Amino acid sequence: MARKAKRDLTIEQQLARGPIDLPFLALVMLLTAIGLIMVLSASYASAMYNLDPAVDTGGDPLYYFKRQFGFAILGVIAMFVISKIDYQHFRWMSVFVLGASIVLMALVFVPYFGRSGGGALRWVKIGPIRFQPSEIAKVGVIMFFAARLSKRNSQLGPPKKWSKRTFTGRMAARLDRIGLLELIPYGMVLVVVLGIIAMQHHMSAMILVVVAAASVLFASGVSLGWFAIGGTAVGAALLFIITQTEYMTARINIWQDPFTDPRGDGFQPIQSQIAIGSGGLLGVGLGNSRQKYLFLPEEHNDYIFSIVCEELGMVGAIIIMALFALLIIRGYWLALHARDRFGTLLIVGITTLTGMQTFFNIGVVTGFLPPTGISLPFFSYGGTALAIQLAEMGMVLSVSRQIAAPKAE
Amino acid sequence: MQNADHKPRRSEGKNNRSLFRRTIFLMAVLGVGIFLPLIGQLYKLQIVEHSQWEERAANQQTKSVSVAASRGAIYDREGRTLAMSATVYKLILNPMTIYSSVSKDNYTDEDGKLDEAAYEQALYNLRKTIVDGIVDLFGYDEERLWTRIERITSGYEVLYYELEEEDAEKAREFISKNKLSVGLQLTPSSKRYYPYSSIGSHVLGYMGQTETSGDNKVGKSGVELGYEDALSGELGRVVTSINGRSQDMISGYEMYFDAQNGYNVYLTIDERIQAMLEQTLAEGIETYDVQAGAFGLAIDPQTGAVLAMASSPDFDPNNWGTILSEDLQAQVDEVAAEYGDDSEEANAAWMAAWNKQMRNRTLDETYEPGSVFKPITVAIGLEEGIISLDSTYYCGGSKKFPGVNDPISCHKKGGHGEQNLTKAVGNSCNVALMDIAAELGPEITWKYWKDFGLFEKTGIDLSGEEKGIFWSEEHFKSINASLELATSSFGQRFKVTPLEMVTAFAAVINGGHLLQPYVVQSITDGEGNTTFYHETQEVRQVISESTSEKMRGILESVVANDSGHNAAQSGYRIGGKTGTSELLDRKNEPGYNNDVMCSFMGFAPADNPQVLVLVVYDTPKRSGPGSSYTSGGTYISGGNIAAPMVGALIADILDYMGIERQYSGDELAGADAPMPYVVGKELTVAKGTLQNAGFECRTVGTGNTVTHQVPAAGVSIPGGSNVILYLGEDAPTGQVEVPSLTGLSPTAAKVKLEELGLFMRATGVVDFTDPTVVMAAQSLDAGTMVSLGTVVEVRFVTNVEYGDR
Repeated sequence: MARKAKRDLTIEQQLARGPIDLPFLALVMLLTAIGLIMVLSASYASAMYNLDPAVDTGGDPLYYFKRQFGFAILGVIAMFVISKIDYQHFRWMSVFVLGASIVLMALVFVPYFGRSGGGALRWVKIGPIRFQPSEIAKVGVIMFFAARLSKRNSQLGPPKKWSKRTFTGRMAARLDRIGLLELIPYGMVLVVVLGIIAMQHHMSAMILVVVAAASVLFASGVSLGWFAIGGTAVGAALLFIITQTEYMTARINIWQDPFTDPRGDGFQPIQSQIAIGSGGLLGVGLGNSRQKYLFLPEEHNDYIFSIVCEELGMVGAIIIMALFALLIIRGYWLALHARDRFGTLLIVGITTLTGMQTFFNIGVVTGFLPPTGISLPFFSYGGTALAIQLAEMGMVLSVSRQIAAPKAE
Repeated sequence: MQNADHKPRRSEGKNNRSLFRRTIFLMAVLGVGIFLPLIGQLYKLQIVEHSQWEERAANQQTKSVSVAASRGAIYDREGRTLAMSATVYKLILNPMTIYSSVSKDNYTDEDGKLDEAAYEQALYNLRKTIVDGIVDLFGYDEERLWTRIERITSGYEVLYYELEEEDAEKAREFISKNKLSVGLQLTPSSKRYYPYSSIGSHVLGYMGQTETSGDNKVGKSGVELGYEDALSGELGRVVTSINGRSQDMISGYEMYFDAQNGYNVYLTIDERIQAMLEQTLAEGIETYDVQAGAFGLAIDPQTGAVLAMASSPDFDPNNWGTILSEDLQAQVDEVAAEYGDDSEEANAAWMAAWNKQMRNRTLDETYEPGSVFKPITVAIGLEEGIISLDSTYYCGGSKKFPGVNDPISCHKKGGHGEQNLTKAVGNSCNVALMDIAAELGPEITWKYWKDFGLFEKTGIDLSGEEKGIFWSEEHFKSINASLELATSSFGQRFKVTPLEMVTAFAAVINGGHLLQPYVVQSITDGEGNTTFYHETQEVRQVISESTSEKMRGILESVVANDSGHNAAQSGYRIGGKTGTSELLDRKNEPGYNNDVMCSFMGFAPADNPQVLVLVVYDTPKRSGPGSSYTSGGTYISGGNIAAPMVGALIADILDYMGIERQYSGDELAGADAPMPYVVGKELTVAKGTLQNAGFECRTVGTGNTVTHQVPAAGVSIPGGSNVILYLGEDAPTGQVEVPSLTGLSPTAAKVKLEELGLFMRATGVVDFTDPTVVMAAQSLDAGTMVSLGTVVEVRFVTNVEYGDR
């Protein structure tokens, strides 16, 4: 399709061709690059020793890096392509993304497509690509919620009139007034998505979906009371699970003092903290980690940040955390300046998701939070996850195109 | 109110403000807030706890293999090896790796099904190879080995701690032949050998494991403990980096720390003198039926160097876990027989016996020194000028104290009568000593006790030392303590360690120098460089040289003329003091029968003391309740029991040290001389030659020319011996039986031996005119067959009853 001259475009189309936000792009590229280098460093040893029964690296020390690099390129291309799309189209797309993710998640349970990993069915394999559909579900939920909530009062038309004559009518009117009624569709979507993820025993994905959804709801202005109620309910549920199920109690105890079971469940956190602690202020130097030599499990996946801390020290770790912080702050800045509510809510969802993922991962790795399997954006090994992450960044960039530039004289 | 439903729920502006505020809020929380605790956590791990985690990291990332350092040897003052180490090997079984070396994967088919039976069989086969091999090679208990090899959580089961090189070689071969290096390991360690077994055991100490030493053995007593740091050296290490599966890193670094071998320690102890002292203890215990052991010390009074230190019963440091003394073992067996082998009583009895043999009573126990202490009191008086050699004392048999009903009696109930100072000490007269103490008073007495070091440990370089037990200073100096002052003058009612007694006594005779006793003379490193040399440590000058000289004179007289006479040795000027200590604190023990310790403190030569010896026999058995004699008929006192033993010991030590005997006129006649060659000479000429040489002779046969002589020419026999000349007859070639000389006087013994063609060398109290002198011991037992002309050594003592309490 030949590129139309600018004058032939509608205002909408012109806006969609605005410049992308360079600071945000730079931060994304920087983090992706550093992440790739760290995957190379962290995965080197385990790839060379080829001891993971699930993956045959053939003893090639660059095995993980090469794959990650390939997905990074794919992801960057996807990011640029998505950034070119007028994000208004994401409104209608959201329904399909969400729907597709639900279908894919259901596909996990279909023998031919489903793949297990880490003891649970979470993966789907289509052709050569293996990925977790729950990654897409997160985006789907954000897009769907943002699209619907952006039309919350103005665009949803006048308030619906409830019959005052019937009981149900009066009841509905009351529920509408306190704002519960409008939450019902969102709740139903969440119940479906979370239900399927729960069947995959994928606690961390559930947490992230809830967080992402909550952030969009929160930003859109849903009464704080509902969050208080929801937060209390979730808190109570967590408390119940932690105190009443042996499995969770044990996990919390291990988290509090991993040395009670240094060879069993405490092994991972201890090894992680040894890596971090032995790094000290300046670290042992890039590539010089000792803990990656088969001491620290998951060293290139969820626990890659331990290797970062060991090799680059507290200084390096704080610089990388600062880059994440800048990315998040820039993300919210873009949200604040977005052209419409949809853009704002979309970026808020994606940025919050990225931020919370970072927080949970580093928190777990450093022993600040109890262990859950949440990966670190841009860093953890996992090709499709990185590609999807970059695609999400593409959406943010797409929104950033339509921000009105400050008037330049 | 009614319009509520018609109002727009929110105005657009309000709505946007909310969006703005909430997004800003999220920005603050996620952009800044969440990172704060994370940075805090990083700070905690990487800065605050950094060293702790680094240590953990180093621990798991490196493997440190220790390289044994060989322990230094212990030599005596002449360089005899008293303790040495040799390399032995520890055989370690690793059930964990044996278990994991049989991989389940090899017995799992493609579907992940484990062939349980095949796997079990493989594991069993591997274990059986090991068990059979070890049982076959070393005779290890098979059942026990099976139990140990099935402890799969254990990675360290020591099968043998001390395999000698020969056995280790067999094990090495077995391991390599069967490729068992994962499950069986040999690591070098060292074993301690004590070539002289029990000689000097209390000084040397022994090696064993402590709670902190793990498998390593460390010194647990004596010099082995006291000089552990010097002897042990430092373990070497090889540090290699490993990965998480304990494999060596391909490009890992290695660091070597060389083992530092232990230093060699040279003692002041002389193995020969030590053996003599131990022999003296053993002989005395045997002869006098001593019930509760004995202990003794020999030191160089000029330096404080301990030449010998012994306590009986003792132990064999090669094998310190067993009871060495047969008597003690018999006692344990008796209890075991009554209560059963494993009974609490038997174990307690064993433990008590073991504790007994491990104690070095010369320094870890206090005793009442008794009359051996009297020279201290006298020295104080002389030093202060309160008494002099001319002072005279009257002993009427007891001394009365105001306010005390019974007077304190002297051991001689009839009294010693009028006596000068020298005689009073010679008589060991308590009344005279109490008079002296009264003149001194408590202030001066206490000051000198302190100066003599009786209140402090001597500071000897051995562990476990105790110190004297006295009244409180306040009490002793009070008006109520006149009785304490009186009894203390003759060494009763307070306690000191034998070592304290010896060092104080050394100061009395060596010119007044209180010296710190020691057992380690020097330490050398592997190249022979001396890293430590003990210089004489003088604590203080207690009395003057002139006082000391007077004391030597008094003490020489004690041996020459009085209660110490049994210690006299011809040719040596010996000084000393006897002692008989009461054991009042054992009064309530079963079998108590006025028990005493008999002791003698002797030194020689009297004018320039080279050796000072204290020997104490604890409880010679009385022949009956209230009896004053042993079953052998010896009067129980220091002068009758300990003095002869110590006299002989001192003579042996001086002989060994090469100090020549200086005979007086009388003694000279009895000194050894070589037999001249008189065969072929005419009888008259031969008689003249023999007379000139100091021998008498008798003839056998009738002729005028000597055809044979007994003994042969050149043989040393005591002067005055009656040699045999054969005139025309052959000397008989058969052997003769040594007769029993028990109870004979020197003259009678000499005659009895010479009748048989044997010669007598008299030792001990050699006085052919004194009717109280009787035979105490003979070097060859009665009934021994010996050749003609053999010299039998006979020791004589006087049977004067020397009371010296």
